[in-house]
Amino acid sequence: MDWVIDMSAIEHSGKHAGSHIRGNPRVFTYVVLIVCCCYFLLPVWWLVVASTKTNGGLFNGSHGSMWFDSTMAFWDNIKQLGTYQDGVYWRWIANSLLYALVGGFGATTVSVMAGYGFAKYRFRGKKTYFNIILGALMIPATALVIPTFLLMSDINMTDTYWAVLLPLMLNPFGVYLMRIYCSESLPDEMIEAARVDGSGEFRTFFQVSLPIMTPAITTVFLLSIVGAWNNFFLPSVVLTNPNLFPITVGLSQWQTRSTAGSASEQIWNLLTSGSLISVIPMVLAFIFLQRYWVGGLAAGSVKA
Amino acid sequence: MNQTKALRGKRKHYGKENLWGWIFTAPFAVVFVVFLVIPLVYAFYMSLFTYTQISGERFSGIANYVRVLTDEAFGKGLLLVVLYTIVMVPIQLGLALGLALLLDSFKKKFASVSRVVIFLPYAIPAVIGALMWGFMYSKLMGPFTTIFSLFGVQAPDFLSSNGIFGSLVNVVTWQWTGYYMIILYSALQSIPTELYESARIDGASELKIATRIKIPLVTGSLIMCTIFSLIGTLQFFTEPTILRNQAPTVIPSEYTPNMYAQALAFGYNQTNYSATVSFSLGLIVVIFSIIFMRLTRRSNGLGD
Amino acid sequence: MMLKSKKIFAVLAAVAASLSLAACGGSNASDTATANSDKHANDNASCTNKVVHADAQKVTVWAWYPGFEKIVDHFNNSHSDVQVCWNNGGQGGAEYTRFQNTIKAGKGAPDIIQLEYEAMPQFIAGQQKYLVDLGKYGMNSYKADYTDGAWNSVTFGSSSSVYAVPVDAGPFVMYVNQEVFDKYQVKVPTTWAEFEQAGKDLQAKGYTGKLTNWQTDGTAVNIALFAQKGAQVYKYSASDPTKVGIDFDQQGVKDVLSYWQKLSKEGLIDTADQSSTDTMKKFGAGDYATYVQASWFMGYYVKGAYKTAADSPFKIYEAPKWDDSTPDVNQGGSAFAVTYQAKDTKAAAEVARELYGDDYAQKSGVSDGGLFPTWKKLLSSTEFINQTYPYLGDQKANEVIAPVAKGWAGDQFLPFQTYAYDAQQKSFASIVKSGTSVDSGVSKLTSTLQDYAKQQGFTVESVK
Repeated sequence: MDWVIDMSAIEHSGKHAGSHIRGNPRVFTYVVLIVCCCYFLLPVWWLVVASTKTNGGLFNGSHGSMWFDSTMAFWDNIKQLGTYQDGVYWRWIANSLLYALVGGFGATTVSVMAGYGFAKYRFRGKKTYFNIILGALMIPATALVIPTFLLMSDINMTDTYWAVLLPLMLNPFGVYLMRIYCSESLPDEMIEAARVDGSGEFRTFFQVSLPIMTPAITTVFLLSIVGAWNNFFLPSVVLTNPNLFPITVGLSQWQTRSTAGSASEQIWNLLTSGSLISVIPMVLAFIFLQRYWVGGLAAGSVKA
Repeated sequence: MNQTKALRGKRKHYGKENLWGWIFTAPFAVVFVVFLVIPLVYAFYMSLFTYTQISGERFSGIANYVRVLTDEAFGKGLLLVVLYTIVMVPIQLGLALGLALLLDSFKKKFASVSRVVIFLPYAIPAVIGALMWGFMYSKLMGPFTTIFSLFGVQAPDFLSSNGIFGSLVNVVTWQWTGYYMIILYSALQSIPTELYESARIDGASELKIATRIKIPLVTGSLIMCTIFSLIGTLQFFTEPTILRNQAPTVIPSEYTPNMYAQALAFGYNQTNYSATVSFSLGLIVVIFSIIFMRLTRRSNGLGD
Repeated sequence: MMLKSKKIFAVLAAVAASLSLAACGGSNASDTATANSDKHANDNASCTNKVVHADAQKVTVWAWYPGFEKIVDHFNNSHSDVQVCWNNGGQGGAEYTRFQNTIKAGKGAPDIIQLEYEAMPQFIAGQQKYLVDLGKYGMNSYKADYTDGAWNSVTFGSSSSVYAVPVDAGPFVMYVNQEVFDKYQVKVPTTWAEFEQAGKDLQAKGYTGKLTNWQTDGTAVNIALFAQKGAQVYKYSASDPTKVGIDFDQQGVKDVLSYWQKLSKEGLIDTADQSSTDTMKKFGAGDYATYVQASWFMGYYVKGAYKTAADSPFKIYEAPKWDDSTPDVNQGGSAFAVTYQAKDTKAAAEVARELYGDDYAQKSGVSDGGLFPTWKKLLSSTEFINQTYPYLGDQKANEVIAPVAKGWAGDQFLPFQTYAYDAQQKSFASIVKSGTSVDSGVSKLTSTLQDYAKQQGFTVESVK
C-alpha cells in the first residue's frame, strides 16, 4: 500500500516540478500528507488483506497480518458468505441499503421542510422550539433506546422495517444545517417576489426555493444516509428477526458468535470479508460524491 | 438576522406566517415528539421507580438520583470521559484544522486524493472501525510489533490497562478527524480569496495568513465541531464496547457512563436505575454544552 | 431559553406520563396467566428455517446452537401436526437481554428459548415470571433420560418443578499439547501437584511457552475449579426463591486461588483474557502446553486456531485432581425452557422435549453442533464412545469425557449471575494476575455480592 501512495506522490511532484506554491514548503506538505494517508489507510489495508484469509490463516498464516497468506481464500469467503445461514449476509446488505436510502430520503424531506420553515417564517414559539431541537442533539442514545423499545412493543412495531425506518426520520442536525443554509443563501426577496406573483407557499417552496437549496439538500441527504448505514444500537434492540437486520447488527452478531464461549463457532473469516464488502458501497459513494459534501457543509458552517 | 428585520415591517403577514411556519415544521415536530420527547419523558418517569427482583417495581421518588451521586462506578466513568474529552477533542480538532489549512492552500491533485483518504474512515461504520483496530492492536497478530521494531523500539501494549486510553483515543481520532476536517475545509473554501490575496501580495507567509485571516473566519465552524466532538466524547460508547470483546478485564462493563447505563439495563436488569444514569449523563452533557456555548456565544452562530 | 422550554416540556411530560402509565399497567397482566392455548397465534410468525407443513400449528424457538437448522428441519419433516419456527435470538447475554425486554414489554418472546444453566435462576427468581414449570406437563417422567448434573441444573433442588429440558453440558477436562510433552519428555500430570511440577520441568528443559493460561476473564471456569475442591460458592433453590447463598470466604476457594497465584508468581502460567485474539494466536502457536477447560473448547477454540485438523497437536485428558476425592465437574451447557408467553404452552412443552429427544437429533448435535450430550442413552452408546475426533489426532475423546459427564452432580448459580461474574472477574484477576491478598479479596467479593443481593431484596443465607 505504501508504495502506491509513494508512486503517485512522486508522479505528481514530477509533473508539477517547479510550479508555484507561494511560500509553501512543499516537501513538508507532501511528507505530512503521505504520513496521514498511510495512517488513515492502514486499517483499510489490513481489512483488504484479512478478507483474503481463511479462519485458520488469520491466526496462523504466513507473512504476518499486513500481507497475504499463502492460501488465497477471498473467493471462498465470498462463496461462504452466500451460503452461510442461507446467505443471510446479502439480505443484510439489501436491508442496509433499504434503511439508508428510504431512511435517508425521509429524514432529508423532513429536515429540509423544517429548516425552510424555521428560516423563512416567523411564528409563535419558534425560538423555544428551535432551542429544544438543539438540546436534542445532546441526549445520549441509551436514554432513548429502552423506552422507545418498550413503547414500540406496545403498538406491535418491534421486528418490522418501520421500527428502524421511522426513528431515522429524526435528524436535528439536518434541520440546523438547512436552517442556516436557507437563511444565508436563499434571499427573502425571491420568495417575496414569488408571493407577489401569486404563487402559493408550497409552489414557492418547490419551484423557487428547492432548486437553490440543492447543495445543502445533497449534503443532508448524504449525512442521513451515512447515519442510517452506521445505525447500530436501536436496530440491535428492536429487531430479533435476522431477516430484518442491517449489516452492522448482523456482523456484530457474527462477532459475538466468534468470541463467545459455549457451543459457538469461529467465523472470523466471514467477519473480515463481510466487513470489507459492506464498506465498499459507502466508500464508493464518498469518493464519487465528495464535492457535494464540501458544497453543502461550506454554506452551512461559515455562519460566524 | 436579515429576514427578521425584513419581516418586522410586515406585521399583517404574521398570522399566515404563523400557520405556514408550523405546517413546514410539522412533520419534524411529529417525529420529534414521538421518537424523542415521549421516550425521554418515559425514561424520566422510569427513573422515579426502583426495580428489585424480589419486590418488583416501586415508586421511589428521587432515591435513584441520590444513588447516582454516591455511585462510585458512575463517578469514575464520568471522570474518565471528562479526561477523554480533555485529551481527545483538542487532538482531533487540532489535526482536523491543520489538515484543512494544509489542503486549502495546497492545490494539487495529490491534495484532493489525500482529502478523500482522510475523510474515508467516516464512511466506515464505527462498529467495523473498532473491530479492525482491535485486531491490529493485537501484540502477536497486529503490524505494530514489526513497525515499531523497525525503529528499534518495543511496541506499546495497546490492550493493557496502561495502553487502552491511548488506543481508544487513536480509534476515535482515526474515525472522526476526517469528518471535522471536511467541515473546516468546506468553511475555508467558502472564504472569498480576495480576503487574503492582498495579504499574500504584501508578502505575508502562509502561516500568518492562516492564523490571522483564515482561522478567525472559520471560528464558527470550529466551535460547532468542538460541540459535536464534546457531546460525542461524553457519550463515548461504541468503540470501548467493541474493544471490550478483546480485553474484557481491561475495559470493565462500567468503563464509561453510557456503557454503565447499558450494562445496568441489559446485563443487570436494572432498567430504572439505568434510566437514571442516562438521564443524569444527558443533564451533564447539556450543562457542559451550554457552558461552552455561553463562553463562545459571540461567535458560535447558534443563537438567534 | 431554558425557562421557556421548561414550560412546554412540563406539558408534554404530563401527556406522555399518562400514556406510559397506561402502557405499564398492561404488561403486568401476563403474571397471572399460567397456561395459554392459542394454536393459531404463531400462524404469521417469520422464521429463519423453512416450514414444511405450512398449515400445521407453529411453535417459535430462539436458539444459537451451531447446526441447529438441521435439527429443525428434521423435526419439521417428521412432524405434520406441529412445526418449529426458529430464529437466532442472539447469543448468551444478548439473547437474555432480548428475552428480558420482551417479557417486560409483555410480548415478543418466543415459545421456547435456549438458556445456559447459569442464566436460569435470574428467570426464575422474583416477581416477573419468565419460565413455565414443565413439571406440570409431565416432564418429571423423563428424569432418568438425563445425567444427574444436567437434571439438577434445571430443577434447582425441587422434586416436582422442572424449568427446562437439558440439551448439552461442558464436562471439565484438560487439553494437552501432546507434541510439547513428547518433545520434552514430561509426564502428563494427573494431580494439581504434578501439574505445577510439569510446568517447572518443561521450563527447565527449555520449553519457552507457558504451562497454561489462567483466564483473567474466566467466569464459569473458576466455579468449576472451586467445585473440584468441594467449595460451593453460590446457593439458590427454586423452592425458596427469595433466598440466596454467597460465600467465597472459604478454605476451598482460598486454596484454589492461592494455587494459581503461586503459579503466576513462579512465571509458569500466562494470565491473559481468553477472548483476546492474542491468546488464540498463542494457543495455535503451541505456546500453551495445556488448557484446562470444558470439553466444548474443542469445537470452538481448537478448530479456530488451526488451519487443518492435522495441525492440531492437542489431546484430551482428565482434568488434574487434588486427591482421590476430587469430584467430576462441569463448565457450561444449556437447555430449552418454555416461556410464559408461549402461545400454546402444552404444545411448546412437548416440542421442547422432543427437539433433541431422538437419536438423529442427538447425533447431529454432537457431530454438526459440537455439543456434548446430557442424554444418557447416547452417552453410553458404543458408537458415541468410539467416535474419533480429527482435531484431537483421531482420539476417542469420549472415553475420557463421558465418565466426567456422568459423574457431575450439578452446580448452583445466582439470580443475578451477570453481575456476580463481573465482580468475580475483577476480584480474581487482581488476586492471580496482580498478586493481591487472597484473604481480603475473597472477603471483599463476598460482602460486595451479599450487599447487592440484599439491595435486590433477597435474604442472604449460608451456602451449606
